[in-house]
Amino acid sequence: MYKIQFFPREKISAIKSFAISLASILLAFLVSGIIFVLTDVDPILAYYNLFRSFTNLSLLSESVVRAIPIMLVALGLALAYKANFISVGGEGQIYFGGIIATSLVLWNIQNNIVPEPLFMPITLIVVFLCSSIWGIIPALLKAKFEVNEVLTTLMMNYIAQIISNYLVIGPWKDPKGYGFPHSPAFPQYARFPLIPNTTINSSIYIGLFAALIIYFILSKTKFGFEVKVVGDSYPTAKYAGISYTKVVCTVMAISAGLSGLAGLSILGGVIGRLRPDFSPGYGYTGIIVAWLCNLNPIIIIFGSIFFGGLLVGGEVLQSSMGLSVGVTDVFQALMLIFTLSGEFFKRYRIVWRR
Amino acid sequence: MDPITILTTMFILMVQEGSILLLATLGEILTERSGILNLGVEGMMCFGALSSFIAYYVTGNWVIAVLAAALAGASLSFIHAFVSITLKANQTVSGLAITILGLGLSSSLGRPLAISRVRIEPIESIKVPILSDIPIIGPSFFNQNPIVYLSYFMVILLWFILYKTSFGLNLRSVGENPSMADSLGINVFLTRYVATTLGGALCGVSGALLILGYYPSWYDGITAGRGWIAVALVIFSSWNPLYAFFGAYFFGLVGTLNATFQSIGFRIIPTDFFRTLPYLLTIFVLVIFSSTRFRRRKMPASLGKPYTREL
Amino acid sequence: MSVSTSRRGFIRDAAFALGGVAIGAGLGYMAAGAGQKPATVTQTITQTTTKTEVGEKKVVAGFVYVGPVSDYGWTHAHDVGREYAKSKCPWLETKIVESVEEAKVQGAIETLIGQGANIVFTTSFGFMEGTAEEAQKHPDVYFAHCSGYKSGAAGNATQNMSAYFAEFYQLYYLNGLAAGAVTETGVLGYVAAVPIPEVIRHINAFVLGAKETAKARGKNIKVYVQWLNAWFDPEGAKKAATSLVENNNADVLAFTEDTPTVLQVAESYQKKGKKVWSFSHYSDMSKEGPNAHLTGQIVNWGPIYVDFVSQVYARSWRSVDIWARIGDYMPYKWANLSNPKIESDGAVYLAPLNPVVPSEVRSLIALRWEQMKELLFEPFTGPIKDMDGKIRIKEGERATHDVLWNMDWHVEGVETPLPK
Repeated sequence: MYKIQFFPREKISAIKSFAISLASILLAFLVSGIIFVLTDVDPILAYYNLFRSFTNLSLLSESVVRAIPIMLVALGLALAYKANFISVGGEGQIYFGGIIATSLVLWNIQNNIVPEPLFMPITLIVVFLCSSIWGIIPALLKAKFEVNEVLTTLMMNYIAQIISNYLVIGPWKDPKGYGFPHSPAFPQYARFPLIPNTTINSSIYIGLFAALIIYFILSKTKFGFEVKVVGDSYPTAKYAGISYTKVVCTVMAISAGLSGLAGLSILGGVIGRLRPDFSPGYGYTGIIVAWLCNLNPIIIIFGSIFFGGLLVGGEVLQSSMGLSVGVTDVFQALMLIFTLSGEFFKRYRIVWRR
Repeated sequence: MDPITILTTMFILMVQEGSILLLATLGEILTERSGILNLGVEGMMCFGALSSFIAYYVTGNWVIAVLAAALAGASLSFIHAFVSITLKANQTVSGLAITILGLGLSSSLGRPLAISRVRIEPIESIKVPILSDIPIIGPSFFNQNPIVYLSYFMVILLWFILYKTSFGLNLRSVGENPSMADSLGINVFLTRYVATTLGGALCGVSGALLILGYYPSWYDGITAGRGWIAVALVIFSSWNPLYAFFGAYFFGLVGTLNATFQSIGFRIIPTDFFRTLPYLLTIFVLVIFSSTRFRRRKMPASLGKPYTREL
Repeated sequence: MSVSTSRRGFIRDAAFALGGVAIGAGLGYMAAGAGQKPATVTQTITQTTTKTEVGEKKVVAGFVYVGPVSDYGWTHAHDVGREYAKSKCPWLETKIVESVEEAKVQGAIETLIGQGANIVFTTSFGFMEGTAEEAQKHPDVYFAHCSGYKSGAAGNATQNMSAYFAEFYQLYYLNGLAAGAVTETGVLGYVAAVPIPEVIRHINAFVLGAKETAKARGKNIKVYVQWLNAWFDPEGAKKAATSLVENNNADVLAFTEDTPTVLQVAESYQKKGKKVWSFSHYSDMSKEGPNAHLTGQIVNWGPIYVDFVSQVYARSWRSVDIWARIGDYMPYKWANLSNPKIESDGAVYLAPLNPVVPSEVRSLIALRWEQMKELLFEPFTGPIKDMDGKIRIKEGERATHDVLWNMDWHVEGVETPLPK
């Protein structure tokens, strides 16, 4: 009788690691393909449509637009996850950022104090800082009271979303909007201009810049080193004198700040005013992207665009083949599950014994 | 428009909404008590709902429909169990994957049903004699469909299992300190598998209640985020089935306030404030029960952490 | 952190430096562009004379739906219209995107344009701004927005954008006639979506009709409104309907919500022996509540869609603002007396009447239908007072288009004040 035993690996070569990741994704394709065949859908055609966004310029443009907020959230989360702080609060931070941004815009429309060219840079800073404060709350709760951060950040998502929706239905409703639940339109100086000949707004630069900053922090600074130590082993960090509180609070400040900017990017870049439920779950997509891209900021840039393309692809699938958008969800979930399973093989060696 | 009628209507709506939440919460309590965090409740509920819809439409028998839902929820949670327990993966991500999988499967498989306007009859309510004549409580708690009564029973059953049986004791010790439980001879992996799978089955049944009791036709997104509320409820009820009973109805009650306030013309406090209340209170509960003074009633210590047997 | 001079490290650092330069340039560009104004909205009509291919040209129509086709209400009706257009126009190809939240409309439009759509229909008021922006961005694609007020024809959008709408208030008035005739408690409930003028005038028209027939029976009526603040909210609609029946004692429930939920609630009361009535909305929902269904307003978007895509096919596009009411888009003008069904190929028509409505009221409904078709009768004819007793429409006058489109007051009989 064979016996299967697992031994933790000491280390794994980059090639093997890559091969396992690749195999996971291919398995996801395979299983999805089988599901397609079983439900009477042409898998080749389905995949072609799903990935049409990468062969068609205007669809690619739209994919990038959707990738921007995903990217910002994922980058922030990558930093948090490196410190093993499992925040799922991206969605709430997006809404909170949106609330702050709208409040600034409305305040300036009323009082006209900030000169127009300065408005965006100031808003960027204020949104970042306020969202940071929102993000520090669960960090403090974890550091001081050992409260599970998954649960606190999850709860705060609801609170932020409810407050945002309340504001837009109530006090911030456009008085000239015929009673519809939306805020007054953001004036031109509060919008991100489009890159000419594309539909991509310039908040993409913020996303790219953030990626470089996160990369820099993680690989070149002492703080980044501390983050990694805390993430690897809390006792080691404590022994080395690293302040857990300082690390998680800073990490969450940056993470939440970036997600807040994602909210600003959605409102100022695409929609142009506050609306109820303005984020289609980008906070949660960001978690998946960060994780699938192995918390690597450079890979996250491309991963976000890939996911933006998937989202567009889902709509293409629906409009050209009549399939439900749920199909992309199934595909995403399979990718996740297989990648998660793949992680196991990266960490453990399998040994067959008689 | 007298207060009795208003309260009765509110309570009826509260019990309808709350029972769905209750079943899912009980299932997740079972899972989390063993130390496994399963964020896939929303997906399991939705998939359970679809399965029960199809089963009921095909067989006309609600018991089979409930079983189908339980099976659906259990299969999804089994995947989660395998990935989290045997493959020791990140449970947060795995749970999210299950949610997405469940929602995606329901949306795609349910589409032809939705488009063809297939309709089912909600199952009959059964009036409990005598008890249903009590003012307010009677019509709301004791004139409901059988699955709601099942949920009451599950509260007591779960409480009994957790606190009065050796299986429950083992389960709780696995959740608190798996290595200690292991050294005492308890099979940590098996216990967690059982807890996660059964917990998922209950989440699936909550989806069945949603369909069979209240929604005669299928449409996308029918669960409307209730699964996430259940995750919050588990914390709010401190992982205790009896508290879950009250917590679920509290959350259900808050959901009825918009309609009730409009009926009676109460416009002073915006209802959105009440909607944040459950989540605010949940955080409050989390903080209180996490601090060292309340060690006894805090969350299972090993929640979310994979267990590896040290050789 | 030692300074690494290995090849990997150098490549990394170089990439970082280059990236920094690119970012800096981008940020600079962004700062420079921040003060730019958008392209001006007023454009002269541009004839597309450049495309001179003769022969077959495919028209690809994209549809952006705010809800799922399975809602069996608003979105379903649009989809039925789309199928109708496809059946009449062999050169037409259609693509849909469902359940698009209002904030995502531009993305959905881009997806459709990316797949070759040359006309895009956006079917929710909340899509208006997004549609107008897309119309600006894509001058070679046509856009038609439903239930809004922006179009080239109205002068507040580009010429490649039209607006269209099917007006229901006349039908709600007819519903009101039926409601007033069957109510026993004298209390009517209305489950309303969003407090905009369109919904408000529906409510008001309903109340006006109900008062008319109720007065003939010697009854006074009261109407309670519950606002959902959403178009698609089956859960909220269920609770609101239940609350109206139980707490306010309503026995007829009208609604503006995108699903048959309120009718289903009425039906479940009928099954328990309590007489609660409701209506169809947008699509024929009588199967959802066979006992509770009184009548309802049905919309047939089909002829309107044929109209639009034909313009694109014949290259004869002109921006329009369509406001279809009773009688519009009917293939024949005069009543078909041998077959007195109030429907067929018009853009809006009434669902079959429940036999419980007394025959003299049914005759009244048929009469009013014909009168409104010929513009001989207008429900909003003065004297009409609002709920505070102030005269809003003077004796003998009819409400104008502006009064109707800006309606922000309730008629007497409505007990629930409008939300702020």
